[in-house]
Amino acid sequence: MQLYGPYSVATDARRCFVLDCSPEPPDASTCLVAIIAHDVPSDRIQAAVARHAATLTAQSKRSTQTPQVYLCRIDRGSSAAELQLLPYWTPLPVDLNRLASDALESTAQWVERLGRFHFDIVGGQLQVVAWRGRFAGATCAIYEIGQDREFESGADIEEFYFYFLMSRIAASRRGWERISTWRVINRADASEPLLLDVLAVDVPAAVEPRRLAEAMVERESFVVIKDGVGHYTAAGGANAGLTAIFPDDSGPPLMVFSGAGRPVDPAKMARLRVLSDLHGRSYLPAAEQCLAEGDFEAAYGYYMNHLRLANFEAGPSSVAGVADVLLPHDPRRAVEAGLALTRQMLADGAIDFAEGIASAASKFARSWGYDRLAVQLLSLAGAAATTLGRFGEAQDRLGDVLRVAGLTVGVDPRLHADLYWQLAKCLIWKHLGFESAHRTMAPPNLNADLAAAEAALVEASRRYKQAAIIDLPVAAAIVTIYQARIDDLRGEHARALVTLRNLRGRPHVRQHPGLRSAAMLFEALALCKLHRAEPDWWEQYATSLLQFVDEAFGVPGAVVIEPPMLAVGLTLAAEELIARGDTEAAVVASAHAHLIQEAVASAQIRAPEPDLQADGWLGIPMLDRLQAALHRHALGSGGDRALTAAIEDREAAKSRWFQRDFGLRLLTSGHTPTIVRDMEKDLRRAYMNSDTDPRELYASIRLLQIQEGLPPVRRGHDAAKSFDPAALTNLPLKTAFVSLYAGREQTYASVIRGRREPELLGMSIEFSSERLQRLAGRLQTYLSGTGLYPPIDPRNPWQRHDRYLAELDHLQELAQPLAAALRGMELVVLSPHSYWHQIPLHALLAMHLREVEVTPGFTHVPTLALLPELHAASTTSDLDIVNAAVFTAPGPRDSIDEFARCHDRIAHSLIGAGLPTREAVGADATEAAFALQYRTAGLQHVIAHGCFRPGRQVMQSGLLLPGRHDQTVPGDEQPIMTAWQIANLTTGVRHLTLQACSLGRSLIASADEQWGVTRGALAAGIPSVLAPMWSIDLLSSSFTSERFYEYWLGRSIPKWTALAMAQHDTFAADPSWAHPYHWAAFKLVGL
Amino acid sequence: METQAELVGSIEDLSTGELTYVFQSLFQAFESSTDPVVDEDAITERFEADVAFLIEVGESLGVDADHLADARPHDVLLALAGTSPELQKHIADGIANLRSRSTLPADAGDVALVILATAAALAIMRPKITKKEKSDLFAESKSFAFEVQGVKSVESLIRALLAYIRSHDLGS
Repeated sequence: MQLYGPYSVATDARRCFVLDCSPEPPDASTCLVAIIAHDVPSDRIQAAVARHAATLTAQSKRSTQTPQVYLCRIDRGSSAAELQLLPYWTPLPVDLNRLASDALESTAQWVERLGRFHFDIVGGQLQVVAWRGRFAGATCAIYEIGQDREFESGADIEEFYFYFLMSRIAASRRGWERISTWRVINRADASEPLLLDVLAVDVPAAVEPRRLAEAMVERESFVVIKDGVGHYTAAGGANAGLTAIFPDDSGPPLMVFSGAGRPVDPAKMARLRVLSDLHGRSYLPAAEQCLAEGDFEAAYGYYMNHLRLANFEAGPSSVAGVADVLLPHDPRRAVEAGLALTRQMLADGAIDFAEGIASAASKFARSWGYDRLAVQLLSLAGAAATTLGRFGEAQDRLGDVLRVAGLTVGVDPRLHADLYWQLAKCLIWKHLGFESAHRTMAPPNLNADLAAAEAALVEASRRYKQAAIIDLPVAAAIVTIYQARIDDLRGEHARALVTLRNLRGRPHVRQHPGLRSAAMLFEALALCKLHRAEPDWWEQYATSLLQFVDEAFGVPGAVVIEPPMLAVGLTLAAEELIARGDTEAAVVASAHAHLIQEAVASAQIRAPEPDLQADGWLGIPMLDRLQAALHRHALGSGGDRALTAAIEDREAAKSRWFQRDFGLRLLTSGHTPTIVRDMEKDLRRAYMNSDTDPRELYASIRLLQIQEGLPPVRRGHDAAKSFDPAALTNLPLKTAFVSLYAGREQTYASVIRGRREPELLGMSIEFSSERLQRLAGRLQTYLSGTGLYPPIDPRNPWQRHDRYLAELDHLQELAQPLAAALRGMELVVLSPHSYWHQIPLHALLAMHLREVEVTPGFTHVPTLALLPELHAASTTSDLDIVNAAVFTAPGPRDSIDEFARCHDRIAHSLIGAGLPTREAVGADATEAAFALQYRTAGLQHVIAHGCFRPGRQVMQSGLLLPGRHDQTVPGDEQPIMTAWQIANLTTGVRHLTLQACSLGRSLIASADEQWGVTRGALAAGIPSVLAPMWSIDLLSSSFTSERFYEYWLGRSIPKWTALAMAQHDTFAADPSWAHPYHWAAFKLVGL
Repeated sequence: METQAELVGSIEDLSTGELTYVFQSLFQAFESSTDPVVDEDAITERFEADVAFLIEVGESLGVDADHLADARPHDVLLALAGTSPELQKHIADGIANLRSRSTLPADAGDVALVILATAAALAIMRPKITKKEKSDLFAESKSFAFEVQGVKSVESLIRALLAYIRSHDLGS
């Protein structure tokens, strides 16, 4: 045991000592306690501190590889019995000086009232992210509170939400002590008096948040003052004031006490500035070290922390203090570090993280006046966004950088010219998929983009000449090649062809592999369109294309072309090769193209938004060509290998971001409960709120892991993994796994029959993606009533069946071979694709399997690649169900009696199965009752009106409760328990049945990413969800549910079989129920 | 069958969601296109054509679309009910059907009610209105007249519909 220090002196004359109380070998983990005290701690106190630390370490079960660090504050006169140690976090490796300064900072009187928050309010959602320290967990509680409502963005938004949060704390946490509130808001030490007396405030639900906060801050005498530097002060009495300081648009607001109604004292501001620099300085080494170790998330997290904390206020520090002694004030270093990190990340393929760092660092650089560095950073951000296929973002970045460069003296002329060239490239790449995607219509903005690209090329050319660069001929050739592509996209194919052929004849182009390859590809693209208009061009087109491919693969180094352009050429070549019957070469070409696309998609940390399809060349269905080639190849020799490859490729590509985020859930195992809670919250946020920047969240999770001493774990999807049916031991041996891919021409299906020694079958269904889309639209129109049409008449569902659903009947016939492949199976796990998610595939197959001896049960998964995780989550699910809950909320005009009868039947079937059942029906079925059930029940059954929101609002789909939607205009209902909320609330539910219209539907976005309520439920950790694919009839759906529980829970039949049996019973119960509208509505998702 | 007064009372009592259902039912019963109009763009296109047609008919009937009082969807339904006993029965049946459903949907429709009301009314009216060119040799430009067959109070309906559309500021 050894005591170091004292280190420096805080404003209240207390000092920091660091007690090294590491145990003796072999338990050689480091244990440090930062002790804040006026005097040197006595031996007795030191011994007590060491004992306390040892106990805490043993209790927390933290990794012994990680230094254990605690904070202990000792007031004058404190006894050993009163000692309190708090877990404390400091960047690794632990530096005693830094630890001491941090500890002092968090303890000094003026710092105790300091809290750091980043309020990220985008798209109506609120998040509060605490940037450092052990108090992050407590601060996350604010986020949890904030989730109860949705917010509109507007002016002074941070200020509003700060008060809103305070009011919410009062409203929803009446039992909290003052100290709890202070901890949450401030993250500082808990020993100071509390700001808010939440127990004393009466909180009417409808009160305007700011008024409520005023009342809380006390006694209605609230003052808000805004001065030139953006101080917002709220004060309630002579001595109590609270100020939120907003350094700029994006920096973290700081919360400090000040006198009533007065701005913060300038001296205090100066100290804060110094302090933030102190913090900022301390994160750079950690960021650099993590990057060197390939830990991109952590490097990103540390660097962003660094910027936020250093970004408190631009300008030179004028105050000498603790920080000046310990660490120099150096914003330029922060910018240069950002530049180096960005370059390294780009080189390492962490493109999305690089983009984030470059964007943030450029903004920081500009705020400090380092405009030339900002230009370099923005240029890199634009290039990264272009590579990622985020063309809108790239255009914004490049537009910004050109503006800044135009105003900045001393920008390298070559760089300036390159910026124009980059902009042109971005605009042209945006339309790189024109031919491969088989577009016949000009996409929106094509002409505008081409005009802008042309102007940028002209400017680039002028500036290259002006700069008299050495490689001017090469630069000029690049400009000419891209200009030819513009001509080609404008319809002047022949002219483009002549230009490109002329260029290819010039010596400097012939000798430059990059130029030659680009010219070859663009020539092939021009010929492609000529050939599509006039078949006589075919031979030239095919020759040109295949020559390009031959060079790509035949001569090493011959094709030096950027990967997206290579992928485009290969995709087109694959089509030609398929047409010629050379399936092996087609597989090679399309697989390579697909790999290039996958690599870029894999680098995208940010998921696409629900209603967006991928832009540019990323929107080319390269997997489509690969599946077509593999399918044909599978018909010949090497069939099994091709089938396996087809399954692996298509399943890996489905729900990429969902897989990745779901996989991260597993990382929570082995952590302390606090960390697990924090991580789970972050994870849920990560994939439920499309406005959230997942880079921040992954970084936040990673930093939490670092606290636990865990190594970086590769994200779920990105880790190489193979699908092993034998490992899914909870599933029947006779399980079939069906993987579907809806292609441009047909649907490819693969069946893996059996878990042990599985048999592989491949087939196609002559039903294209486009036809499926049409059918899915009609299905919803007829069954749910959409657009101009009413919902189906449940008493006469066949009435207009032929008009709307003849195609469904046809598809059922086409599915016959697939059904035949499933005979004898007990369970069929369906992994649909594209619009197959919206087709009742289980019903189409079941109709063919009615008469066989063993009727299989069906369940659905977003992708087979997710099965191991779902399987792990469901291992003990049935055993975990020890109680149930039924929630029934009839609408204002519904027959209460009828709903009550259905409610009783469901409740009785659950009680009959031996489950104690909590019930909420009618007036008792409130939002709070739902949440209580959701938290405490093992099984929850919901009978209510459902509202499915197509489009970007899909994650706002949810339940409609009486009183909330009685008078609203259709489409303006405000559902509760939305997909987003379901994902975020703490739940103990192991099976959820949503007997609510259409809540089993999902929206299919780019890369087959599924969005909707079932995704929310799976994300919350619920292993299985039963929900309808369309609007349902109360009576038939209640009948199916009741039978389902009787079979599953009453007779212990597996739930998938129980559902199939219940659906069969429904089919047979009434002639009108023989229509799929009644019996096939429910879809089981998960295991 | 309900009396006229009862039907008026029933219509007045309809909520927005219920009106949606009744208009959808009328549209489905009367529309004659071979392919269902499912696509959002097709619905918008159809609405724009419907409004243009209505304005044209309204003008030929002397309805001053710019000076109409605001109207509600209920007024359109009432006006529709007034056009023929057959339609009155359809509407009454639609309301009765609505009341007897045991189905769960509550998010009635994803299309604005004004679009639905217009689509339903035009699905009924359009086949009964014939556009004919006026034969005036000395006219500077072509002019048209509309003939309406088998519908009473068509002017009231056009007036109610245009007023309802105008109150949504969609018909200009």
